[in-house]
Amino acid sequence: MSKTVRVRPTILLAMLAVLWILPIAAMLYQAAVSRSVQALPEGAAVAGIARAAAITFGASLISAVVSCTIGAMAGYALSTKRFYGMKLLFGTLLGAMFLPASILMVPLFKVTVSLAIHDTIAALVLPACATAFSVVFMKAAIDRISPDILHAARIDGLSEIGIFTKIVLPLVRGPIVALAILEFIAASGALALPMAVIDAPRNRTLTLCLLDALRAINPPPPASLLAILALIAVPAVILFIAKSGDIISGSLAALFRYERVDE
Amino acid sequence: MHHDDLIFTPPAKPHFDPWAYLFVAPAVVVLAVFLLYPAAWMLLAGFQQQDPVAGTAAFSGISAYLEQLWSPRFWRAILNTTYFAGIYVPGSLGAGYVVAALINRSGRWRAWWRGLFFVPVLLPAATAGLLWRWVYDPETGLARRLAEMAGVPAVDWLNEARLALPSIAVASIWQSTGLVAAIISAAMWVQPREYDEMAEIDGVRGLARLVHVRLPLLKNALLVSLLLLLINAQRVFAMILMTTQDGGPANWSTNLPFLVYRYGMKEFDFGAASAVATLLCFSIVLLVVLLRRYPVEGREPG
Repeated sequence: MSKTVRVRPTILLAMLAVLWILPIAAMLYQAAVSRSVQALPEGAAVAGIARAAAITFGASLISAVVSCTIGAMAGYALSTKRFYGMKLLFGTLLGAMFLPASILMVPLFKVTVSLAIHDTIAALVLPACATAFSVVFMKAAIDRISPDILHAARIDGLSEIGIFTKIVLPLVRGPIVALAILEFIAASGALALPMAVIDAPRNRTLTLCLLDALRAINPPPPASLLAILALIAVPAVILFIAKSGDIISGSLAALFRYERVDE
Repeated sequence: MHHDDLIFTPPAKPHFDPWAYLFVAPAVVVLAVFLLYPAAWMLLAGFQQQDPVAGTAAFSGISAYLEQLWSPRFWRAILNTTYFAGIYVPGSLGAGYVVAALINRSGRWRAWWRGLFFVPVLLPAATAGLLWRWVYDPETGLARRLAEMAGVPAVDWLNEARLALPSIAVASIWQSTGLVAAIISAAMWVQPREYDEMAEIDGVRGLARLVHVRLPLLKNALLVSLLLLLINAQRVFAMILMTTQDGGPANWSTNLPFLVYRYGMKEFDFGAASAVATLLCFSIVLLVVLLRRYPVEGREPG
C-alpha cells in the first residue's frame, strides 16, 4: 500500500515534466535537424543576426550589472534606514513593478527623443539600468541580514560606504548573482522597449530580428527562427540551472512578502 | 537598561538622512525618467487631444474615455482580457497546485523538479511566444505532429477566431505554472501535518479533505497566486504579438495591452491609447495593493 502511494506521484510528475519540456525539446530538435536542409539564413543575414546578438547581450550585460548595483544601493537604504519619503518610494516601486512596458511605449519613445538618445544603444541600456523589481528584490534580500551585524560594524567605526561595500554586499552575494541573471534574461528578451526606441536595422536586438522575420513577406523557414530563439534562450537556461534556488526564493521574497521559515 | 542601546533598532520615525537619499538617488533618477515620467505623461495624455504631426496638445477633458465607451474594439478587448483570464487563471492555479503537490511528495529530487518547471517562467514572453507560434504552426508545428500521431485532423489554432485566444492562454498557462507551483510548494512545506492526520483518523478523505483541510491551510499562498495571475492576465502582450502578430484574426486575440499598442504605435491615437492604458494601470495597481496584504510563509522543499 505505502509503496504504491510513494511511486505514483513521481511517475505522474515525470509525465507532467515531459509535457512541460516537450515544446522546448522539440524546438531544439527541429532547429538542430533542419540545419542541414539549407534552413539557416546565409551571408548578410547571419552577419545581421551576429550584430544583433552582440548588441542584445552587450546592452543586457551592462544594464544587468548597473541595475544590480543601483538596486542594491536603494534596497540597502530602504531596508536599514528610516527617511522621509521612504513609504512613498517603496509604494511607488511596488506599483510600478507590475506595470507592463508595452503600455508605456509611446511615452518611452518620446522620452528617448527628447534626451536625444532615440535609436541608439543608450536608449536600450539606460531605461533598464534601474528597475523597480531590482530595488524590491534587493530590499527583500538585505532585510534578511541581522541588524546586529550592521550595528556592530557601525560601532567599529565603519563608514556608511564601508558598511555597504564590506558588510552588506558580501552577505548578499548569492541574491545579487541571482538578480543579475534575472535582469540579464529580462533585458535580452525585452520586446516593448526596443520596439519603442529602436528604428534602424543596424541597432536591432535579437527580439526585433525575430519580429521582423515574422513580418517579412517571405518569412524564413521556422527552423532559422528557432535557431535565433535558441540563441536568446540558451544562455538564460544555462545561467538559471546554476542559480535556480536563489532565483526562486529571492523572487518569491521580493514579490510576495514571502517569509522564509527555517528549521 | 543600558545595553538596550547596543541592540540596533532603526529609529522608529523617519528623519532627514542624507546617506539614505544618496543611496536611493541613482535608482530614483533612472526610474523617474524612464518609468514615472512616462506613466505621468500617459495619465495626462488621456485628457488631451494630441496632434502627432504638429506636436501640439489641447485639453479635451474626459472625451477620450467617453469615446472608448462607444468603441466596439474596446469592449471586444475587455471581453478578450476577461475570457483570457477565465482560462488562464484557473488553468495555471490548478496546474500549479497539482505540480506543487506532486513535487512535495517526490522524495529527494524536489529542488530539481521545481527548477525544471521554473524554466518556462524565465523564458522571456517574446521567446515563449515564438516557441508556441511554432507549436501551433499548421504545417510544421508540434501540435500538428501530435495530431497526426493521434490520427485526428489538424487545426490551424492561431487563425481560427474562436481558438486563437484560448490557444495563447494555454501557452501562458505553460509559462506560469512553475511560478505558482513554487509559491504553493513552499507554503505546503511548512503546513502542519497534524491536520491531515486528524482528518485521516476522522475518515475525511478525498475531495472533502482537499476542500476543508488542505486548501484552507494554504489560503494565503493560493490568494497570492490568484492575484498574481490576475495581474499577469492583464499584462500579456509579447505572447500575442509573437503568435498572431496583429491581435487577429479580426481582433479576436486583442486584449487591453494589445489595444493600447494598436492605438498608440499603429494608429497614433495617443488619447485613446492613454485612456485605455490608464484604466489598465489602475486595475493592476489595485491588485498589487491587495497582493501585498497577504504574507506567505514558506520554506523551499529540498
